[in-house]
Amino acid sequence: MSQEPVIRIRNLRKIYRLGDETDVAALAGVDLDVMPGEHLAIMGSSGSGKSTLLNLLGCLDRPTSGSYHLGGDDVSLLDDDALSLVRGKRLGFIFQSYHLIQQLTVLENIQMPLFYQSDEGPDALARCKELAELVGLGTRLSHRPKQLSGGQQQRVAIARSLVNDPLLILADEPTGNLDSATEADVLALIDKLNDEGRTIVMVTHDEHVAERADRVIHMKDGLIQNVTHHKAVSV
Amino acid sequence: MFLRFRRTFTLGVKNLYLHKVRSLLTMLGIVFGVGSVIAMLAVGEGASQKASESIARLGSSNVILQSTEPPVELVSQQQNEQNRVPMWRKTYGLGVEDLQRIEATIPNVNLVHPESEKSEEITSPSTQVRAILQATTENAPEIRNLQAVEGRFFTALESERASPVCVLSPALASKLFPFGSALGKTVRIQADFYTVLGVYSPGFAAEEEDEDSESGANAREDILYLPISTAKTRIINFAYSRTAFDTFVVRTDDTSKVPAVGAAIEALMKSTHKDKDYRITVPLELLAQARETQKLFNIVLGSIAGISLLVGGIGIMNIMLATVTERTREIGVRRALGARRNDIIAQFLVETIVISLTGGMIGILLGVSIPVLISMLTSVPTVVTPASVILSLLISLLIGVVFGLYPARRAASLNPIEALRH
Repeated sequence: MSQEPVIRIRNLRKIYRLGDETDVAALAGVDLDVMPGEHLAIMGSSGSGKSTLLNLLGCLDRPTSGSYHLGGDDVSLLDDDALSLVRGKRLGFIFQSYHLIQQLTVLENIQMPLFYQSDEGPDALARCKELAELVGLGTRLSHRPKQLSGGQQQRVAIARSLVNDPLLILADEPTGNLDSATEADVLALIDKLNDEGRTIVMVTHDEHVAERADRVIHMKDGLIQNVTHHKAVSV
Repeated sequence: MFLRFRRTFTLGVKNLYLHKVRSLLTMLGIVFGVGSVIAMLAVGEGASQKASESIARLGSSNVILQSTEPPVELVSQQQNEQNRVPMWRKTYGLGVEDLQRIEATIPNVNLVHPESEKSEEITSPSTQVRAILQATTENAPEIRNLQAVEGRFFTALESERASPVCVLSPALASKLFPFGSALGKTVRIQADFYTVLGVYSPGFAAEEEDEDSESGANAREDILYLPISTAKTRIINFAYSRTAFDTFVVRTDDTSKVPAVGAAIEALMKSTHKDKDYRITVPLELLAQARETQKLFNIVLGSIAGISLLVGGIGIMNIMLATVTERTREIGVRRALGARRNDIIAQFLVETIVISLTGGMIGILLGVSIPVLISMLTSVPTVVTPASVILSLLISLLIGVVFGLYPARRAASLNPIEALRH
């Protein structure tokens, strides 16, 4: 039985207008399917369009044309509030600079995506604590980000990306700010999530990081230039 | 919904608490604005109430008539007509015939109370004091709100018989008889001796007419009351006065009739006194005028204080705009994690409302304290009304919303991608 892809994009374009008349195609017609449980890495040089693609996949921006189906629903035409809802309920983000809210504790940062949902569920607090345990920070729930190391902050961000039980986790250079020992820890954690069936799309510059993905797409000039398969994925 | 509001509120308070000094400095404008609104309105209200009380003590059901010296040109003109009556002998003002006419012809008048006063030396066995002699009737305690300290006031009979009796104010009694009660003692005025029947403390009369006092009496505390008939027959100054009476207090039987009675007396006096040698005062009308003036005064004071609130509001807006810039990345993160534009607006709005309401409440404490201090340190009366407190609180809430909305909308309009890159 063939599975429905988590992400299905067809002929996705994003054109930015610079100044009065100059149009720049950041994405020039991308087709991509990402299957449930897949770990996809996006690579490319600066200006290749990988960040634009990640922003569109993360519903942080809307395409100029083309379609984007997330979990079977077309999200390319949704308005701002609806996109916010999609981000809050179906997506998890891991950023390079962790992007934790400094005035909140570890537990509150993990809870943050639930903050904007009308129904967070009865056992939300227990789940947040469980996720903190999962990333090894069960004893630091009341600490603030400033009191944590970079690796620990990224672990909090990973726990936060899981709290809404997302369809897809988007990671933008998640180890870009970490030393090699911490990087290995964080990547191991991401691998573990993937092994548990989480779908992960990660943007990275690092070949070694990309090698851990099932599939790597290389982008250039707003297009997918080539695809490398490390593991067999049924697309 | 409630949970969401509670979280937004908690987070807003937390954010402000984390930047305690900045939050306190931001709310200072509102603190002083609200404080000054309440304090200024309290001073205005105090002045208003004092004015109202003073006028009301004149008697809201009374019409006051006073003798006034007619303008010189009128006297000269009339003097020519009446053939050489020397000016020092020319009488003016209120007379017995006026009293009788008012009593006989003006409806709804139930009493006309005449009064006159002069300054005179009063001698007791131990001392001599210059005091005000107030020639009045037995109705004075009621009409002039005199309070009995000891003894009694003179009676209608004593008044009718022009008995040599008097009543002293407490200040005068203690000056004349420093070592005991004045009751039953005698004082001498000019050639006659008068028995002291009682000591009565003056009501409003002592306060009201300070400025008009011609006597050397100490701030009108030293008053001797005696029957008007006694004064007229025994004391030269009264007997040869150019005015028969200084004042009539005309009491009406119904407050609603006061304006009509006032108008009728005015018409009557105009027809019988060609010289303008009287002044008519209707306390009720004065009261209305005073209230109108005070309303205007309050508006001016309120506007001045309102400007300081406006400045406070602008201060809040400035700080919040700076905060939005400072927290751009946080806004981006919140948006990425599912916050809608309205959630961001609510977040920042809650912070400005908390700042302005907290500032408003501290301002209320300040605004209530300042009038108390003013009243303690000076004799200026102040009254803090609940309305001014509620108004100030509502204004500070409004300032929070109005001046918080722009920074909040600006925060919400940030592009999440740009904000995350900040």
